[in-house]
Amino acid sequence: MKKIRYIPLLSLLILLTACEDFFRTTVEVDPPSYVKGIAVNLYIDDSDTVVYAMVSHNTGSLETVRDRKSLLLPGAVVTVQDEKGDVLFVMDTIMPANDVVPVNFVAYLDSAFGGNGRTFTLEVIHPGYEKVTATQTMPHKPEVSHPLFNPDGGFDDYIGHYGILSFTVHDRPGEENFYAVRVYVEDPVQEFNYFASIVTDDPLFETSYDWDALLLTDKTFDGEAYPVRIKVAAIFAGDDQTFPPGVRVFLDIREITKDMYLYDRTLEKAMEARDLGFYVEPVQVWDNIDHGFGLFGMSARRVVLAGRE
Amino acid sequence: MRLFTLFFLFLLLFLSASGEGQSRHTISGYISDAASGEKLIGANVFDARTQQGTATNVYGFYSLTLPEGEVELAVSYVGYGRKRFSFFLKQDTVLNISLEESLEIGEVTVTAREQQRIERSSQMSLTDIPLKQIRALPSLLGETDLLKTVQLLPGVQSGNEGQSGFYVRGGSPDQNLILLDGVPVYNASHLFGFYSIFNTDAISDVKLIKGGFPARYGGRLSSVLDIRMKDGNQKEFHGDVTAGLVSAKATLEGPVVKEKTSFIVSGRRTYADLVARPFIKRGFSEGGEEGNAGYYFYDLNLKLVHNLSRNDRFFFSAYNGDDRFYYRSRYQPGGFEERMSNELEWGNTIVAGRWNHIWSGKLFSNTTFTWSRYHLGADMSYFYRETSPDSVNEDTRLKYTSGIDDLALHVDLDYIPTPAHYVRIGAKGIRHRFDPGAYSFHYLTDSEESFDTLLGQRKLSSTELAVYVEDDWRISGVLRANVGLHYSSFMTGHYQYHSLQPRLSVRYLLPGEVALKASFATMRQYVQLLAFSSIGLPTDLWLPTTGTVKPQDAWQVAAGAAHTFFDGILEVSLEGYYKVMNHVLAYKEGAGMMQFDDWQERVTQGRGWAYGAELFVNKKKGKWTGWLGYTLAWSWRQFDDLNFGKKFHYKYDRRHDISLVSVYEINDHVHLSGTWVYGTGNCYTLANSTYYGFFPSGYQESHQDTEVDYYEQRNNYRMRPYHRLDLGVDLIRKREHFTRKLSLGAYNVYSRKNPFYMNIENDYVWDDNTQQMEPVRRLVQYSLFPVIPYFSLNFHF
Repeated sequence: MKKIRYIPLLSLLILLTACEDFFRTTVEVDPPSYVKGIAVNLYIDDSDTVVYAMVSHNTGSLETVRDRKSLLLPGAVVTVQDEKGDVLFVMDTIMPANDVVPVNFVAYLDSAFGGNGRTFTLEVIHPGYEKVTATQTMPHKPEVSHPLFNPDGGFDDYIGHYGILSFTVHDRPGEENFYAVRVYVEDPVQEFNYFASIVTDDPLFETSYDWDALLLTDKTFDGEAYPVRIKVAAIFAGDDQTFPPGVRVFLDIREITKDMYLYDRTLEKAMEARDLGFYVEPVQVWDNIDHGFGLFGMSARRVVLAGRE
Repeated sequence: MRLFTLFFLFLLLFLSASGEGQSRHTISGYISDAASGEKLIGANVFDARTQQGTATNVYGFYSLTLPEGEVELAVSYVGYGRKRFSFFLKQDTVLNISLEESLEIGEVTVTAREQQRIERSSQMSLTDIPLKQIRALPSLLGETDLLKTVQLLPGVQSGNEGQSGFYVRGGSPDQNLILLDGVPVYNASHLFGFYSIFNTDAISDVKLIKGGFPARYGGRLSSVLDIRMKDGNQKEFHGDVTAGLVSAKATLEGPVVKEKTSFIVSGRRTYADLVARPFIKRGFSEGGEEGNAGYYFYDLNLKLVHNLSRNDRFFFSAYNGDDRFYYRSRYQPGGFEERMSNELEWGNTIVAGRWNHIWSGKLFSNTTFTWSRYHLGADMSYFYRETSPDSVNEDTRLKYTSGIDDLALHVDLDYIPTPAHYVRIGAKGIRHRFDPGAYSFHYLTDSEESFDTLLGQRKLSSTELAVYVEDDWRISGVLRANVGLHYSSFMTGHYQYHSLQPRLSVRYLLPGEVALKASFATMRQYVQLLAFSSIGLPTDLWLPTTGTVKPQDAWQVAAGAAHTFFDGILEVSLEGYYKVMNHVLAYKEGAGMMQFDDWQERVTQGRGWAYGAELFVNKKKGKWTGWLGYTLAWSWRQFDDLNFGKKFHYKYDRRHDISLVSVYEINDHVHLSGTWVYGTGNCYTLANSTYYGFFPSGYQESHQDTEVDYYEQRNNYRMRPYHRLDLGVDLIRKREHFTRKLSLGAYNVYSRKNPFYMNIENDYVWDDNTQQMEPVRRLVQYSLFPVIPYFSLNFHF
């Protein structure tokens, strides 16, 4: 009789054990909800005569995209307007040149875009999607002085032999300014021109998603003249790993909009986080497209030949 | 500081004046358990004639000053029989009282006025956690766990499934001050947080304070969990031996010199590694190797109490607990030898010496000297040696250490001039020494590439000082207040921080013994835990305030009502709170666990605020005991560097939290217990969608493309709600020399798949349209525990 009372308990245990699902510890759950929208990336430099854009739509975070071109929206109407609402140009649809960067819109301009200090609006319309817009003010060209290059800067564990490019940035007062600095090298011996790898010991500089560039903000020197020293790697220099005589070094400095700076910094952090992989804090990438995704960015560029120090 | 001094002087003058011109005498002494001599904390002493009363402090001491004349003292403590004393009070009197434990708890009659009821105290947001219930409740794998019982209280939330870390009123786990006999415990968990370090057999009293902090507490923002160890039986030897599924523990207590010196020693160790050792060794040998691997944790508690004289007691207590993973292997097939060893060890050591002295019937002092240490060590080594003449040898060793050491001295005075005032004054100094993590790497070969190096961040020392004054003041029969000031300072490197923290709790008694309570408290925290998750990983680091990282501050207001129904049987309280926290710490976006740069560069500080309401219905007496707790809460964070500066839900923002706890004693032999918990799902950050973009580079034809995850906001995703039912039964048999208790039960009875973590998984499935395997991505929620049965067997002698 005593044993009989254990029978229901044992039956229940057997029943539960038979039910594999009861003991399973994983379950598939619904991903976060999302709204389908237009994603657009368009950057205009004041010196551009050709402007590219990529217009596509977003996908759910779990959707697998086999062909990125399938996301493109070739039927979109992409326009850039000035402050008065006048359309400056309507971009033309093009077939993406390659799978890696499927840029699908282009506008050929009669002359350099210019427009420093003026405000422009991007508008993208596509049937089935909410219209997206973004506004940017073209920055002024950055003011620099005394760009000098010393080809024998020294040796650094990270970049090897390097030269020093020094110059002074003259910051405009009373506004937040953001600079992107690159160095362009014309090597007459190798007959090879390239954007050089650059680093600096200056803690005010930050790295950029564009790995040839460094970013600088005027947080600590608003309205002042700020001296800069940058190490320029001699990676593509001659066999003796120094810059050859006759090398021409150009300072390529752009003032970029705040949106572009924030996008650049957050994008770089996001990609770094992706590389770190294991237990990394998520990174939100900045965007400035109303009702959509991506970035409308602007920059004003100045390229100056550095004198020999 | 000047304000503090003025307040202190005013208080002393006021208290001196209040006793003048009256013929009053003081009755004082200790109240203890008659069987064991264990001092009773919070026992009540009440004079029926003057309607004045007091309660024992954490060392069992009481003091009651009354006018000369007849007194009718009633002494009571929940679960113990009441004692009455009638005598003529004509001089200061020392009266040490022993109470006998009542077998029939439900029948103890203590009148409403005598009993220390929730509405009588000025303190709010305090819960006395009954140890009897902690020991009776069903548990994971049969290990009774103090911290998991704390999680069942309103206003307290658990983190992830199975974890013993807890979150109080929107705060983080490092904002809880966990005190073991007055000494802060830095890492209160074993096995990545699945078990707490506290052996319930060695504990005598547990209190949780969530708000309205009395001035004697400081150093953390969100809660104080004050755990007191037993003193040890002063009269006879007793012991407990328990064996469960994962561990065994034993406790022995007794007199060294009867009624003068007592001890309690308690130990616990898991034994999965011992059971598995033969199988693991066989596994190694089948692969041609020698070796062993395993994990265990242990903890040891020791306490000695010595009554030096009628007025002096000395305590020595120590705790040591460690977790250890190990893997060792040796492979020697001929021609070469290969040895590998990996060890990871972390744990706490706490040592405290304490001296209680009764200066007079009105003045009691406690002086404590403590040393505590939390350490983590990882040691990985690889050795390779060839036996041929042209041998190649290689010896590699990587060691990592981190931790925190504290050396502290406290002096606390209890001054009870009249029944209307209970004054506490104290000072504390702590010398912290932080080891934020150092690596030593040693590599030796026959070649010239050998090196031996030390990397990491230098050790940091800092000093924390605090002084406080506090008065529990009975202003009138209906109005009572606890008013105090806590001053603290922190010195680290060239930086100094100071903080003056006012504290106030007020109780107003409405007709019908309904208490209205309100409190205000400001708190400051100088040390913080840098943790990547709530899992309680050993890599979590305790770090100090520095010049860059500012101390955390908080203020909290709370208001509520409390009442006890049915002559002390049912206690009901309802509280609302609003808490603001400044300089709370969080990792910056993109910070990773495997980064080894300066920790200060990886963190950011911001604001947090939390508000909500808590209902607590607690049935404290009778055959059926238990409680219902409900919390409605909101918790927010805002950091300039996170979520683009916009506020977002805290990860453990939990709108609803319910706990139902019940113990039913059918008879002396069978006790049933059950808990059911429900909580809104935790927040999690998951990408809502993904888009492709490109970024301009110097070469226009090679703009860099990228796939960007779009997050609507931080902590945008809500995990599924958490709920779970645990059931247990204790079968008790009393024999002549011992009592046997067999505990059976199950954790998560209906096998709810509660979220532990989420993961996006890639898979391939057959697609009928394309007639090939196609990649798919799924969001998968992992749970830890389906239904887990347990048993444990306990012998008490």
